[in-house]
Amino acid sequence: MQKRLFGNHLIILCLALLGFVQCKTDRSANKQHRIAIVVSTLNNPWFVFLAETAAAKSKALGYEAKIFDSQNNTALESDHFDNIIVSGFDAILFNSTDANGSVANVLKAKAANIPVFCMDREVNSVDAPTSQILSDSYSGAVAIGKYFTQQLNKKGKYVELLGIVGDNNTWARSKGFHSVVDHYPSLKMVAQQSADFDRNKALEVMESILQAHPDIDAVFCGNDGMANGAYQALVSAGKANTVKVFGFDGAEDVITSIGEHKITATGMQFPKIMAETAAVFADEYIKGKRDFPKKIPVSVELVTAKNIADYIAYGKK
Amino acid sequence: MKKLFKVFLYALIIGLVLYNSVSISKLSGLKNEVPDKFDATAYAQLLWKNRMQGKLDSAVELSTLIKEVEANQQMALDKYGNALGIGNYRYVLVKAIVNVTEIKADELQVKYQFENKQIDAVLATEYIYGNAVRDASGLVTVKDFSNTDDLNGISEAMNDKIRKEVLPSFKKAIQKGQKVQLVAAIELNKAFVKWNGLELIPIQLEILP
Repeated sequence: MQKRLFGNHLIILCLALLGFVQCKTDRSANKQHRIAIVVSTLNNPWFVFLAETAAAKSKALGYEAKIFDSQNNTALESDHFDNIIVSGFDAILFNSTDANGSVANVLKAKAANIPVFCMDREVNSVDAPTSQILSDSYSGAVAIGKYFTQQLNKKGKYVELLGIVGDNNTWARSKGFHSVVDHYPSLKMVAQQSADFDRNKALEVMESILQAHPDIDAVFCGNDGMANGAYQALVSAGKANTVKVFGFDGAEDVITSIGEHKITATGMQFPKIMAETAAVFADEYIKGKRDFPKKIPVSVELVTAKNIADYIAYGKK
Repeated sequence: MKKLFKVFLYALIIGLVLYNSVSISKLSGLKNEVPDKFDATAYAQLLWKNRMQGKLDSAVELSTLIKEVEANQQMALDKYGNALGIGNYRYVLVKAIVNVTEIKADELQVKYQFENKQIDAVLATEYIYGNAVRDASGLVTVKDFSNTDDLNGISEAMNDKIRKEVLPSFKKAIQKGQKVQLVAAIELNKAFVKWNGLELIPIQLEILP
């Protein structure tokens, strides 16, 4: 009797164990992979578009996607990476806050075997990210520099508003622009200041520069947010019709302003291409692919009043 | 005696720690270990000297490109176009004989005729910037460079060579009405290919008698 009871218990135990193993196997087979999207800031519509496009593409590919806003703060970005690693995300689509400061975060993810695909903003490491899909900011700024020189007939005084000094795009745009304008000695840069890619800061910086240099002919801004801020300052100073403003991004309000002849030109980036490519790469990685190009430049196109009909915000019609 | 042994032992330990903490080597030796900075000008010169002529010789005739793009744009751009990245731009090396119709400060207005067609193009003589020449040549691939600055440096060096070595004598000699045989880089936006107003970035120029 006792033996039978023991035998019954054993069978029940075995069945329970089998059921447990089966459940576990089913759960892992049905586990929905997750992709984290970490962006530098959601306080700029351009980055909102980048993040939302990356999330939408990830979902379309069958993943659960979650957006993390670093608020331009590397420490907060680091916390996000810690959470992502602990939560067991399968890939990170990353728009960094700082080219150098963000490397440690990417390395953390790499150590946890989570691939990182950078979008738009570069990190200064060849090996840490799996791949970097970046706007060709230098070439875009070369095109703006050429148009800028033509518009000013190779002479005049100008101001340059730089983005965040720790971001590589800031310097790629500045270098590209200067690789053209510096060939023309009659084009004189009277001020060069950072406004952190921020519209309000650009307004303040520009107001202050205009006090010292009221006779400028043009402003080159490292992004469209700053171009808007600079334009606002010029309107307040009554100089909006005489000073040409050049931006970079292809943001909605600047595309409208170019159509209205308020802003002269911008460099159209394609956040959709970058975000979707990053999501497709993450999908391929999760499915087993390992050979990715370390960096992929994405073309930037010059948008002026002449070709504005061909473009909409963040891309082509 | 015991004290002496203790002092000796401490001295030995301190000596060992110091010996292992400090290493002295020649400054010249260290200097050699610093990786050399990439010399974009030298690299571009080398490419130009050894491989550019071959690429120029194999440039597609502009009329062939136009006809093939009109027949099947994607196939033609895949066949003749190059680009280091993704996006809409494709760069092509083309050869053509053009007629100079107007000489402007920064460019020449030129006419290109083939069969019964004619396009009005622009031959750049001032603004030689950007990646058109580098990318059209197909001599550089993005996989070979981890540093974007190096890639941009190659473009700058190639453009500089054209501005300093190809254009000055040409600009002095060229006259309205003359024919020019050229090899040039062109940038095509595959979203809207337009032939009229096409900008030709010169790489090789010869004024025909």
